[in-house]
Amino acid sequence: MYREDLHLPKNGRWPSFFTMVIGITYLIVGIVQVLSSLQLIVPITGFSDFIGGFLLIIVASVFLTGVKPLSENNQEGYAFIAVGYILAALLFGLQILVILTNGLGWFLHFEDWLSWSILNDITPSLWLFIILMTGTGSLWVIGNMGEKIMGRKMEVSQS
Amino acid sequence: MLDRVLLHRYLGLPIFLVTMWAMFHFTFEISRVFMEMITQLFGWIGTYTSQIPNALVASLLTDGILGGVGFILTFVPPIFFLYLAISVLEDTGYLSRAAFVMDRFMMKMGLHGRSFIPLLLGFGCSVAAVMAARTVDGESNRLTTILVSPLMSCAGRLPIYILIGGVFFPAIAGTVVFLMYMLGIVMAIIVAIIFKKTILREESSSMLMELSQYQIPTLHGSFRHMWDRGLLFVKTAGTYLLVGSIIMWFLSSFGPTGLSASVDDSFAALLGRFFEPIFSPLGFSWQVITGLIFGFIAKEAVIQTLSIVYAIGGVSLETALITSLTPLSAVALMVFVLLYIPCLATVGAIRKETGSWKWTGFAVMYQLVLAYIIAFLIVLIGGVFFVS
Repeated sequence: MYREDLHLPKNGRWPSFFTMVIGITYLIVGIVQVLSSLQLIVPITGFSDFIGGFLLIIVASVFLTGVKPLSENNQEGYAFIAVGYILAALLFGLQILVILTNGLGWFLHFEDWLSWSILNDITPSLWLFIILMTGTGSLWVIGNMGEKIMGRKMEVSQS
Repeated sequence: MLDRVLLHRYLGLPIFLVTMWAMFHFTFEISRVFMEMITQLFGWIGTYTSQIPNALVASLLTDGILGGVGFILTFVPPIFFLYLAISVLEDTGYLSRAAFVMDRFMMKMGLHGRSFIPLLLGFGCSVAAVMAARTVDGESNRLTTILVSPLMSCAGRLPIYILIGGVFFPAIAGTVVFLMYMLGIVMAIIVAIIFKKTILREESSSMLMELSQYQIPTLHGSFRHMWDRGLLFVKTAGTYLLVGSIIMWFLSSFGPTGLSASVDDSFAALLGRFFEPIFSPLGFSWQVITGLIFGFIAKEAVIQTLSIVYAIGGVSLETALITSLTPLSAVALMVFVLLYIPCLATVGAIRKETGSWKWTGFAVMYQLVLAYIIAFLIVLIGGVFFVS
């Protein structure tokens, strides 16, 4: 009943695969950010915050912990996706606010913001979430279309 | 279903850390521009007050009141944002989960899980934390909670973290603030373990706690909570800190010979220099020491005092701090402010809740000693790694 109420997919195979991809992506980017911030690899613009990288690894671990229950068709796995999304959205929203307030300081020509560049504020937590949402949206559209197509096929075959 | 994840054996604590980091990053980063606006406003008013023909009145208004209370008021945005973040977390129902997550660790250390709720309240105000310790079962557990609650970073300490973090570690200032808050939690737990294993032995009982429903916080509710709590800070700034500013200005402008020519000959300098030998291993100047002494009234008074003393000396606070403190001493100062004697209102609350002057005196003394030892260790160990 729970699954139907929340309109969750009946088969957890694809959600678990999708969650694994998201988790691995966050993990790799998080590790790169940690290494870049520690200057163990070539410094990358926007990858300077060590703690920021560590937080991405935590988000990744939330997603990756959900892979197993999802692959076993256990609906509790969706809670990991939900919390992963909430954490990713939190970091994304925070970065948007940082950009807006820094932009305001730059617009008002305050001394500390004169050399501010938006490029430094485009951190992985920002673009990873955009990719995540785009991916989720695309899968949702594809899923919906698939259901409609499959539904029509079923209707045609029945008639 | 969300509790499966938020209260997860291994993920619960990391998720709590992400949330806390986001809260302090939000508090610091978002408020910076608004702080600058208030600074510019008071700077603009100062250009008029400094031109008052009577030099003494001009100095009182510009260096004393604008330099003191005006400077403290620039920290209104981060304090309001911090309260907003705490309100949102409370309203969503996550804060009680955070206590539940920490309960597992606290129980392992022989502490009562419910103690974490007063400690969390300590993020806002230590007085509230001490009073909330009433909910903790068992006399020993309650007393331990009262004694360690002031180790949590209250909103009054936030200005000094923001100032020092912004001046000495501008690229990671938000993270520095976060780490100071985390250090407060860690120190509270360590000290509580020591107390429980030595002077306050008692068996810990398991925690029964009703977790509130998850809900989406309303804009009105969260802002209302933020406003109610933040207003207390503004009222403190308008009353105690205003009086404190005038007293501090007097002590910095006058000396044994009357109106002193230099701030170095003032009563404030005499007071700071008297304790200078004790604090010289930490690398604190007399100005910092005077600030710490006035910090006993309210933690906000530490930087208010620094601001006034340096303003009368004709130096900007940021420049003065960079020239008078090393980055290591700056960290030691933040840690000292975090751990040293609670403010006067908290001492009053401890006296009321324990009903004992002995325990009140103990709370004051152990925090002073603890702050000194930890700050000294930072300078000592940090000196080995970062100076050589």
